[in-house]
Amino acid sequence: MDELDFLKQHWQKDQDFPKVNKEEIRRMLYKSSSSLVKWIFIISVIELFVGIILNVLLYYYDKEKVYEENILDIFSNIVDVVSYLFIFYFIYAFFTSYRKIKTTNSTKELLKDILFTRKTVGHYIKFNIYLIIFAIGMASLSLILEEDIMHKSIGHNILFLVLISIIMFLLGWLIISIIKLYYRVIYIRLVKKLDKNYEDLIKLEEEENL
Amino acid sequence: MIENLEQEFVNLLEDNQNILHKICKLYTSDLDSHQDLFQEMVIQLWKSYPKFKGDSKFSTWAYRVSLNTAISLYRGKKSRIETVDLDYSLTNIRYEEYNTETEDQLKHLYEAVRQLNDIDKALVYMYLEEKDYTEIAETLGISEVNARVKMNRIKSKLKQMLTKKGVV
Repeated sequence: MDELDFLKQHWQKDQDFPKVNKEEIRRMLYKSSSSLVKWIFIISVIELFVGIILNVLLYYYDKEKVYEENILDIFSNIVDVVSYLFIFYFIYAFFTSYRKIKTTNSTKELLKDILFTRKTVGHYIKFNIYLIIFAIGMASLSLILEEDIMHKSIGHNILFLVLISIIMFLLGWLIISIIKLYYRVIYIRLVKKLDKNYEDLIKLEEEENL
Repeated sequence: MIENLEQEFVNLLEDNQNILHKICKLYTSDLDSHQDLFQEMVIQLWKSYPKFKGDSKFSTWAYRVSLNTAISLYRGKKSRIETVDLDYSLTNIRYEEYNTETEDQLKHLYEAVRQLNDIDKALVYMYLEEKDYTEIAETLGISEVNARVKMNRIKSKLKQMLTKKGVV
């Protein structure tokens, strides 16, 4: 008797597998959405930490230069704190979506959670872009303040303002394009896959109704 | 509504889950990968469930989709050569009914099968499930003659592997 026939003899008997129940099966159906949202959550946390590390590094770098605190610094510190609060909110929102999608066993809930996650990602991206625009504005203002325009000639000031506007505009445009590209590559791709899951679910529903 | 469809699918799958487990048993060698593959198959089955029109039996359709999932998942990945292969005791597979010699031989056989490539494993699965060559050929998209030739090659490959180990 060859080996495979020997195996075949015992094959049908070897069937004592751990039984997967209905609940577990249902949870598996939603698994692909849950892992996408998990990635969104993980990436947003990584971004936060990179942001914090950059901030700390900049702080120590700045400390070596001695300059007096001005109103702009105080203002930008307040904005920093507020923006962290927002970021924590977003991370919390991503985390709860992940938890919900992971444990849900109702299609309706899943569709709702996917839509919510999608909307949150949209807000998160917009928020980050506005924050960057704001930071560029602040940087331009502080450059203008440091230039001490009160004691310079008008011609010099006009030239300075025009130059700084052009440079900041170009710089801002460049940075925002890079950021947008980054978000397109990372988040929009994940959201698109989520959308695909969403469409699949809707399609199932439609075919069922036919 | 979709809930009904889902309910229907979940019921059918629960009843037919051994098909998936059996495929997992040939394609994976530890409990974790067994569960991963099982889950992947469930997702693929659910995704293609709307295309299942009931022309064939659910079990037939399910094993085909599952085999395709296993093949495409393990495509290009070289089978890991497992020297220790005792994790399966965790899945409550009863070897103790057999005497030690048979048990030993079976373990080595499973180990050898898991070292075959993805397509060969699919062939072995269908052979063990007593599918005829017409069905094997159709499932894999090859000719019947080709299926027979492949099957014979697999048999001699297995014999070779086991002889090398001194099992046979």
